[in-house]
Amino acid sequence: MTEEEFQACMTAMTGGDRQALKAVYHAYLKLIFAVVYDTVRQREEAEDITSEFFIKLFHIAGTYRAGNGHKKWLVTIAKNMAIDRIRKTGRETPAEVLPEPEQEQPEFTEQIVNRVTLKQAVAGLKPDEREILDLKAVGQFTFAEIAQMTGRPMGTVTWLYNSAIQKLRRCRQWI
Amino acid sequence: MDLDNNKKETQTEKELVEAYLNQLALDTPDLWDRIEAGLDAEEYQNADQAADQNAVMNAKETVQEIKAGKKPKRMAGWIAAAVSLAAVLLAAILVVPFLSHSGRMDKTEDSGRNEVMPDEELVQSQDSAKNESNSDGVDFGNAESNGEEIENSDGLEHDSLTEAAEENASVNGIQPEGIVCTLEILSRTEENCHCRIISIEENSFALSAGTEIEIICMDGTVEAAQGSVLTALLIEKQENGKYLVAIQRPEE
Repeated sequence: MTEEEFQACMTAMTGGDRQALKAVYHAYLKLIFAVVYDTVRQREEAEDITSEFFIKLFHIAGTYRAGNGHKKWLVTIAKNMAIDRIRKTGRETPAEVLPEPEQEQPEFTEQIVNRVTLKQAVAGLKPDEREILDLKAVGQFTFAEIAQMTGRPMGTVTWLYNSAIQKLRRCRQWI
Repeated sequence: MDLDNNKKETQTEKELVEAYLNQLALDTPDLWDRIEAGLDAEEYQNADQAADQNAVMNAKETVQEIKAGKKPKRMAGWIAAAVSLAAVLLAAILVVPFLSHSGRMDKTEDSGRNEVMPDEELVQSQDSAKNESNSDGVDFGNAESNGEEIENSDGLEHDSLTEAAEENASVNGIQPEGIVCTLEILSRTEENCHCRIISIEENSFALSAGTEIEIICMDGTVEAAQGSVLTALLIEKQENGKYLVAIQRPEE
């Protein structure tokens, strides 16, 4: 979604247009859910926060000011909501229980086996690596933008991303 | 070889990212129904709140209307209170002079007695025969027909009553005009006595014997004028057409 399209959606949402919200939802659900999940690391809570995010977005659409990049704005809001939730619940961010490695079954097709192994590989990523991977792959931010958003040096961001890709590649090599 | 390896790695990375995005798309839940439900719930809640606010506003308006409606009643209450206060003050203004008048009348009565008694003694010491002829009672209206001593005593009494009347009148703002007369009480209420003049010494008010007048009953006046006792009175005309009197008890 371009900046102009997003701006138009925000204006429409200010007037109560739910279809505009739906357009934004379809464009950025994966990114927002990934960012929230990377922060809270619990699926149900991530779903709750993501839902609340879009409801909140519908109400605060009028506060959006174009010029600084709408994706960065969205990610910042979503991450803050996730951090607020963690503070309210007063818990640390335990990693969700990793799924047990599934036994390869001969009747599975290669595609299914490939997906499962990739899922296992993603589950094995460190939180930092997954966060950077999500921002880069899903959000399509540049390394510079990710460094600015996460407050990390760009070298660290690049290193974490490459590390994540290497882990995924190894998983793929298992196939 | 390196370029080929790099191309392969880049291609692999793209494939990996694509595969990752595909997997993420499969793992990402569809939350649109929840979001719509949340929006609906908020709208419903807002509508409820708006309704509540409207109800509260309506209630406030109703209360204000009721208050506004009560204001005139409160004003009427204040007016009533003010009128009551004014009435009390007016009554006090009207009554206090009468009370003071009555007090002064008592003083007048006392002073009259004090002055009469020495005169009587004086008269008795000077001429016992004449005193015996007047011992049945003093008819103030017929004082002129008595002896000189009696005239003196009447004159003293008249002077004292006149002074008292002058004091009372000066208090009430009425020119002092005392009249010594005798009255027959025809009827009496708590406030007024309907009397007939039997005899009158002076006639400043164009009163004459046989004239019936209304007299304001003062403290002591009513008791002194019980029944149809002939009473010597100092009359003072009031603005309301009635008369105010100071009693001079007839001597026995």
